[in-house]
Amino acid sequence: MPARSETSSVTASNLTLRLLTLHVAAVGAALLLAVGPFLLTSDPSIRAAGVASGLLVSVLLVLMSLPAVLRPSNRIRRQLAAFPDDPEAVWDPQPVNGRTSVEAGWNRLVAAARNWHLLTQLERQIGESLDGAAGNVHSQALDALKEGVAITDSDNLLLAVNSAFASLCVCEHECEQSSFKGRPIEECLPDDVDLGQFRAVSRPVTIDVDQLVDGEIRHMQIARRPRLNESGQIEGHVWTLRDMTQQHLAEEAREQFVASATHELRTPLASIRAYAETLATSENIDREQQKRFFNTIQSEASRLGRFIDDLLDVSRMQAGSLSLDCHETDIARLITETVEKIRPTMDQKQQTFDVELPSKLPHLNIDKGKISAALVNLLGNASKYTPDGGRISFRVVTSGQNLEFTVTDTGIGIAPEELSQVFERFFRSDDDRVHEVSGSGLGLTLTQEIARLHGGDVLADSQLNKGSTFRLVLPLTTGV
Amino acid sequence: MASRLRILIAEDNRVLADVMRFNLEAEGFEVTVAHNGQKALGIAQTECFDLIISDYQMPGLSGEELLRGIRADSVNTTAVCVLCSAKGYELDEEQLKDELGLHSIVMKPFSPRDLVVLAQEIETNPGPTGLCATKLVLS
Repeated sequence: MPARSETSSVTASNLTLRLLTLHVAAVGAALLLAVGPFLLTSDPSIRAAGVASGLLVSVLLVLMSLPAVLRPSNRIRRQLAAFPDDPEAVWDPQPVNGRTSVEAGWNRLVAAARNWHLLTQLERQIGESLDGAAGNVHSQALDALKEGVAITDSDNLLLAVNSAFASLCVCEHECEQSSFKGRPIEECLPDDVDLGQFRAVSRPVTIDVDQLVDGEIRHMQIARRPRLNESGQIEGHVWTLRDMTQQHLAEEAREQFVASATHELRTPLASIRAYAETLATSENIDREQQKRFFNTIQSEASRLGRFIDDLLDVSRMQAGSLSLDCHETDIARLITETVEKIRPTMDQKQQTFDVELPSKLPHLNIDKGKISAALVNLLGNASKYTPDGGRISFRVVTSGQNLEFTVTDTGIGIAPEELSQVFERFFRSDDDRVHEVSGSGLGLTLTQEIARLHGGDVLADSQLNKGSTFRLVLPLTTGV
Repeated sequence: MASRLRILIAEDNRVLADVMRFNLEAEGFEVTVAHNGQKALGIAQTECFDLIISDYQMPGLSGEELLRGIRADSVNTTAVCVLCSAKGYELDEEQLKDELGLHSIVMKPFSPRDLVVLAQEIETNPGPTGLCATKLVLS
């Protein structure tokens, strides 16, 4: 600072002046002592010679001792003059030799200044270290967030962004996290968003927007809240960007599930209500029709019950809580019971039902009820989608480390483009012939899940209008 | 029966279609049933109907597409149309009613008596163009 520099110069000049004054006073005193005796004599010539020689000696003394007197004060003066204008600049004063009070005082001052400098430096280093650590912690915490966070000033220019913001921002130019500083926030927001949507400066604002990224729609939620300084004035904003795409997909899947379940619940219920009302209100209805209507109600009510069971199993499956109750099971007996259960359905449609089993079948540690339900489902589908008089074969073989249950039919088959979808929840073919029979679209989903829970799988093969083959594979390692 | 109201039912659920037909025929109406949308559209393009009852969700051609086709190009552009649905809240009922000129959207399960009552109302008040039976006689 100039003021400090002037002060230093003035102080240095005063110091030199004072030293000279003291020195001259000392020499004057010595001169007085030296020439005093001569002044007391009565001879004027001796008195004059004494004064002259005294003055001469004094001048010589002054001249001889002057450098020694001035050298320390010069060093002090030069150092004071070198005191820097910039308060941040380093000033390193050095002690001087000498035993005068000025030099001793200067040396004490230097020692104090050095201590002060060291303390200041230490304080600054500690401060920087603490600030750095805190900044680093904040930065790491922000980078750990999935949400993009950006801080802007009052002109909506970016001051800082976290790594999630950098990756969520669809940049036209450079996208490095460090390159955002100073750029307008608009550059980082989806095209459809303009700052006019955030008119309310002083309160939080949230908007949802769809953004096309690499040909796919990304659902974004953008929120902005004001950033206040210590006196409560708005000095900028904090922005958050959230990618809501996964939540949207989950919500869509949930809505689709509810819609499909609602449809499958309403359909049999509609028949039950319509037939029950018809029976209750129609006067001209013969006994044969009454019986047929009652059977329909019973069959639709059973369908409804089965659907609800399947729905609960699918819900358990989704929650990962569809569990198995495994016990040692005689596979030969399981097959006999399953075949007996399904045979009446085949007989009703006059279908040929061939069962081919090996001479010896193992005992496996399986959930007998669930595997039986899975096989009934595969055999039931074969019968449902095979015309009257068709052929269904059920073959069981040991193949390598697996036991394979193969169901083949001569039914309507599945179109190639639909074959990969048959295990999806609620999937039902567009084929009219499929809609002639009831079905929820959950049977194959559950059958495959049951097989997978046992460490196996269900595989499908089909030719449209020729027939289908479904193979349930169970590993023999589940044996006991 | 002075004039037989002609009704087309488009419903892929045969069990439900049967009971609808039973109730409407019991009242003396003339009922035609199609088990998919495509067949129903084919029939509606050549035959006149006073009331068309269609399921919403059918394989191939949906009820919405069927009624759009009927309204756009058929002899039934002014027929009274009812859409039945087992769907839930996802249907925009008001928009569908406006767009397709629907009399109503009926949610399953519904009472077959409601359809009978509607058919009787149409028979009593057939509208300015009259019933199909009258048109056929005149032509």
